[in-house]
Amino acid sequence: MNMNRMTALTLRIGMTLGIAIMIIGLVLDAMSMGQDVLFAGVLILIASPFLGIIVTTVALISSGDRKWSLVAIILIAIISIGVILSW
Amino acid sequence: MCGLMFLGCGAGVIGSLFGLGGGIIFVPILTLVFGLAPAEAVAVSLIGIIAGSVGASTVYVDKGLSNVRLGLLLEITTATGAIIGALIATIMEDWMLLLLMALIVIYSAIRMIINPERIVEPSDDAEGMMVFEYPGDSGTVRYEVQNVKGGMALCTLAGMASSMTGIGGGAIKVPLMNIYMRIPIRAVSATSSYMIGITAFSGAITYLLAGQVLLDYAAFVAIGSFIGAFAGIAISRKISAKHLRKYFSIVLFFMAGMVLLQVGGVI
Repeated sequence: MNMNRMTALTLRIGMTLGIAIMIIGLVLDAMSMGQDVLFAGVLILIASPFLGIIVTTVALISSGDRKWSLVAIILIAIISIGVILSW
Repeated sequence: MCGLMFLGCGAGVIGSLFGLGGGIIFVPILTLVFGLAPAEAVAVSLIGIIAGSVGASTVYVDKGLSNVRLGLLLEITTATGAIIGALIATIMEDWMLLLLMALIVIYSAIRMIINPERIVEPSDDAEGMMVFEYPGDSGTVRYEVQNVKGGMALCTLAGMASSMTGIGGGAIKVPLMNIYMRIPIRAVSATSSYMIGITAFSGAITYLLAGQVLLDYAAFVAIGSFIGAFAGIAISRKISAKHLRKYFSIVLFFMAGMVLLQVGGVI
């Protein structure tokens, strides 16, 4: 599978979902009940770059690209450590 | 509301056009004009950066303009630097760091103006981990990345600087990749656009889960930032690589000015 294509597709899904849910959240928020929906929309948006890396990693592994798969896995580990430490 | 979307739009444009996050420009505007507390402003700015990055990457990554592999590699040392920076941020005076950053950014801007772009074109049959290509204006452009280890080391410093001062992600890495690592500016800005979303992820998710994000502000900025990202892509198609480097330097000078204003206590 094509790594660039798959990664971009993941980002596109995250972007479309995130934006759509945020807009719904903003409309509901005008009626003072959209905070949870807004939270979900922002979460999906923020998570997209990270989900993108995971899809990239899967694509690299399935294409047998061992060196670059390792790079991607190390990055996922470091980002996870960063999030846990700042928590 | 419109103001927030407009602000997001600006962030999206410089994010997709230059690969700059622009926190140094947008955080002061959010605190001064919109009255947000500093932490709230940083959180909203990070989400705007991610929105612009994701928007731009849907196009740049798909077309192969962003070098995803290299982006991930440089992101390893950037993220490590960011963690180190966060741990030692408390022991250094803010104004000293900011002044240092301003000087580095001004130096980078001057280098971008006086140094012409020098790319190492690999021979046709050259294969290697660091030989890449991207679809240029007139056919495929091949380039071989230089100084990979040095570039990775300097990215650690860029990561430290950005987590300590909130600036330096793109402002340091774009000149670094273009001048030192000899990557063509179009591939650099597209790769950096992709990377800034990843860099902003850790901070943004921490703020969000800690409940420190003003969700409606973030949503308006994010929507504006998407629009800006696509506007930036359209502008990028219209201007030559040479002009892109020139405009980038101007933005760097502006950013350095903002930092100096902050050091001087004006903002």
